[in-house]
Amino acid sequence: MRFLPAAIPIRQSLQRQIVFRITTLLILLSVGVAQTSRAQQPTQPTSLWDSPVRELVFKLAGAASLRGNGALEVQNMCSLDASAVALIQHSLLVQLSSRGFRLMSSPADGSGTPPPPAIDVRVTLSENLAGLIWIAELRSPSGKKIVMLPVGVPPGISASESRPVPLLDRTVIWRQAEPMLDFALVGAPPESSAQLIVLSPERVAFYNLQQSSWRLAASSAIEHAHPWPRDLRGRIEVDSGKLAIYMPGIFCSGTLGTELGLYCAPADDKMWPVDGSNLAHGSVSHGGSLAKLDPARNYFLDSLQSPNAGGAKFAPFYAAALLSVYDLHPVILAGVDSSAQLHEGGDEITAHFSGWGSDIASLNDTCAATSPVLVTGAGDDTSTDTIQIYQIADRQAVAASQPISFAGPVRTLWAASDGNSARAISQNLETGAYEASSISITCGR
Amino acid sequence: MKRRAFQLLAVVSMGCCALTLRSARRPHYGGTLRAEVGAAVLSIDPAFPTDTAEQNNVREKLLALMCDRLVTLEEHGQPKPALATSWQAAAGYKLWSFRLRPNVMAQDGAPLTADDIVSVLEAANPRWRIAAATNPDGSTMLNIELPGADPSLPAELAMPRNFVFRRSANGSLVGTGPFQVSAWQAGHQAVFSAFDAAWQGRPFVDSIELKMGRAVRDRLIDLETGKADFVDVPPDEARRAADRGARIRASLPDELLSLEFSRGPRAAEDPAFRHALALSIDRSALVNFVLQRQGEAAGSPLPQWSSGTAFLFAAAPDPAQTKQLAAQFQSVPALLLGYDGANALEKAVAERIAVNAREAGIHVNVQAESGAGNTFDARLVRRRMISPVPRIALTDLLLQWAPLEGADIAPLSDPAAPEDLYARERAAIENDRVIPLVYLPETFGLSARMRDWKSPLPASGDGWPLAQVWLEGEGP
Repeated sequence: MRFLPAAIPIRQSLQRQIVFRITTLLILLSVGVAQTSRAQQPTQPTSLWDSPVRELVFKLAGAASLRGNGALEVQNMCSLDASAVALIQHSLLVQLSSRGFRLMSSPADGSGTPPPPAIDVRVTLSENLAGLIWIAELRSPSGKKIVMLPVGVPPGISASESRPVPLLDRTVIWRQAEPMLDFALVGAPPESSAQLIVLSPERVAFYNLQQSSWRLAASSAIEHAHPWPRDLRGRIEVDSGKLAIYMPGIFCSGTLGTELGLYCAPADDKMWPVDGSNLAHGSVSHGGSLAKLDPARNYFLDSLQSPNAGGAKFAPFYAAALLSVYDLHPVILAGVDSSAQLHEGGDEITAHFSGWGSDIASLNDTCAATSPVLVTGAGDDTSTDTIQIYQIADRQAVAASQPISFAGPVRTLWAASDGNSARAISQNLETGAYEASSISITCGR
Repeated sequence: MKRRAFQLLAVVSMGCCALTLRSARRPHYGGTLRAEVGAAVLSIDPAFPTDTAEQNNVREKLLALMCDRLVTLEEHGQPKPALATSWQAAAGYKLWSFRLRPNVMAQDGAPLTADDIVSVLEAANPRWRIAAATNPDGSTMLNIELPGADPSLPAELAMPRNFVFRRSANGSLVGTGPFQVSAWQAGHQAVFSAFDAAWQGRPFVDSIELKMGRAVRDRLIDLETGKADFVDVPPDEARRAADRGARIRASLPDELLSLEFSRGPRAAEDPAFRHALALSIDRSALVNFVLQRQGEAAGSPLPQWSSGTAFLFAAAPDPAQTKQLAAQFQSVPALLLGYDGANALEKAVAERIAVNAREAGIHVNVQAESGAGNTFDARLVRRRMISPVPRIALTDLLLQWAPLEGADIAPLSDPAAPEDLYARERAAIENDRVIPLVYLPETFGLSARMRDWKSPLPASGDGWPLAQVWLEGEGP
C-alpha cells in the first residue's frame, strides 16, 4: 500500500462548528433481519467513498495537470469521523496516483531537505447547508485552481450507534426519515412470511421480507378531519391476523393478508391499551389495561380500566405499568406532573418516583428481574435518552440494570402484547432519523 | 457468554431530590410564556412600515407565530410542505402549480380559502400572476405564472414576505398559525393565545405575554428573577449574561456586519487604501473581545454553515502588507467611519477598527450617525440573510451592494454551482468596497422552566420556536 501517513498531514477541525446532519437521507435498514445494536460496529469499505473521490479528482484533473511530485493535505471541517477521513484520504491518493501524481515522502532517513513539491493539493472536507461539500485547491507553477464537489453521504455513514449494556438488548428494526409513531413485527425474520408494519402520522406502511430486505408492499393513508396534536402518539396492536391502530380521536381496524383492508373512523372515546400484559384479547376481562387518550393532547385521561386498578380515577398520565410483584397488584403511572406515582389497589398514591421520563412499560418477569419496568430518561426533546430497568421493592424504585442510551429522545415506549419485550421509537438527534427498536431483557449474558 | 445476575445499581428513594429531578420528556400543556424583546413593534401588519431593521426582524418573528406560508424549509434548506402539500413546475420554471392543503382553519373560525392566498401573495409579489383552480377530485391548486424562470420559487415562498393571512372586516390580520393575537398595545405589549384548531396542532403553552421596547438590562434582570421566560439578548451581552447564570442559546450566525464604503471623491475611493484598511482589521479580536465569542470572523459575504466555502476567504490581518500599503496614504485626510449611535456593539466595533487602523498608520475617525447631513466615507452596516439558501442570500446581498459599485448585478444562475457562488462572493468583495467583519448570531435567554427549545434554521422564516416549547411545572 502506498499510503504514507507521515507525508499527509491531516488537520482535524478542533471546533466542529457545524453539526453533521444527514436527515435528507432516508436511512432504511436494508437488511431486515434483526441486528442487535451491540453488533452494529461502523465498518466502511473503501469503495463507499471511491465514487465521489474519483469525481473530485476528475474535476481537478480537468482544471490542471496532476502529473509530477506533490504534497497532499486533507483538512476535515465537517463531522466525518477519523476513520472516514482516512478512507477518503487513501482513496484520494489512489486516484491522484492514477493521474501521474507522485506523493513526496518525508525524509525519514535524515538525508536532507526534500525539494519543494511541484504540486500542492489541499482537499477540505467541508459542509454547507445542503450537506457535504469537498473543495480541492491545487497550487502549481501555473497558478492556483479550486474545484468543488457537493457530496452525498453513503448510506450507513451516521452517528455512532449507542451500545447497550449487557442486560438490556436493543434491536434496531427499522430507520426512516419520516416521523414514526409505532411499529409491529409480525412473524420472526428471516421467515419469508414476516411482515413489518410502520405507523407514521399520515399513513401506515406494510413491508414484506424479500431476500433479507424489507420491501414496501402497501400503504394506507390515515384520514383525519382534525389536526393532530403536536406531540402525536399512536399505537399498533396485532392479534391473530387482525390489525388495530389507535390514533388520537381515530381508530383503524383491518386484517393482514395479501389484500390490505384498513378502515378508519372517528373514535374520540376509544379506549387504548396502555400496557402489554395479556393484551392479545384487548379487553379488561382478559387482563389488559385500557385508558382513554385525550384526542387533542398527549396524555391519558383519569380512568384506567384494569384488573389492578379496577375503575379507579387517577390524575392524567402519559403511561402506565401494571405490576404483579405482590398481592396488591400495583400500578405505576407516569403523571403529567413529571413524577411517577405508585398506586396499590386504588387511586391513593403510595409512592412517588422522581427523575423518570414520561414513558414506562412493564415486562414479564425475566431471570432476576421481578416485574421489571422499563423507564425512559428525564430530559426533553433536545437531549439524548436512556431506557433502564427498575424494580419496585418496599415502595422504592431500584435501578436493576445499566441504562442503554439512545442518540436522541425516546418518543414511544409500548410493551409488546406478549409482555416479553417493548417497542421503542427514538429520534437520532445527529441524523434526524427515527429508529424503531425492540427492547428486551437478555439476562445471563 | 458469561452469565451473571442483575446487579442492583442504585436506589431512588421516594421523593428523593424531588425538586431537582422532577422532569419529564413528554411535553406538558398549559401555562403562559412571558417574553420580552428590545424592539418596539408598532404593528404586526407587514403593510405598516417599521423604523428599524430590529423592529422588522421582531415583527417577522411575531408574524411567524400567527401565520403560515405555502412552503417552509427543512434543515438542509430544501422546501417542505406547509399550506401547500405538493407542487410542480412547467414551462421552464415559469409556471408553478401548488396543491393547497385542505381543511385549514383560520383563526376567525372560517376555512382559509384559495382567494385569501391569492390576495396576499399578489400584494407581496406584484409581478406574479396567480389564479386558483379546482381539480376534478375537489382539491384546490394555486397556479403562479412568473415573469421569468425561477427554479427556486418554493424556497422563495418560504420567505417572510410570503406569509399567508386574510384581513378581517376591521383590517386586522387573521392567520392560520399556532397563535392568534388576543391583545395588542402598539410598541408596548401583546398577548398571543393558543389557536386550538391550528392545522399543525395546538401549541403547548396557552398563551404568550410579550413585552416590547424593554431595555436589555431590564430584560436580563427579569430573566434572572424569574419574571421572564424568553428574552432576546444582544450577542455582545450574551457571554456576560451566561457568566451570571443565565441560560443562553445562540443561533447559527445569520447577520453580516461589514464596512461599506460610500462612493465619492475621497481617499476611500482608492482601492489600495481600502485594501490596506481591510488587511489591518483583526476580526478575531472583534469576535473574542467585542462580541465575547458570540459570532464568527467574516472574510466572505456568506457564513461557512451556509456556503461551505467561507474558509477559503482570508479573515486574518496582515500587518506587514498593511504598513507597506498604508505608507502611501500618510498625508490623506482621516477616513470618517459612521455607526449606529444607538447600538453599543457597533460603537465598540468601530472603535476597535480605528485602533487597528491607527496601528497600521491609517487615520480613521469614528462618529455616530445622527440622521441626515452626515457624510461618511464608510459605514458599519448589518445585513441579515433573507434566506439560508446561499444563492438566494447572496443574490440579496449583491442587490444591496449594487449601489456601492455603481453597476447592475448580473443574476446568479439557478441552480448555482458552488464554484459560481464562490466566484461571485469573491468578486463582490475583491475591490474592498465591502469589507466583511463578523457574522452575528441571534442570542436568547431562556428561563429554567422552558423546555424543548430548538434553534430554528437561521433566516428560514420559521421565527422563534415558541409553539414547540413547553413549560416545566405547568399542565396538563
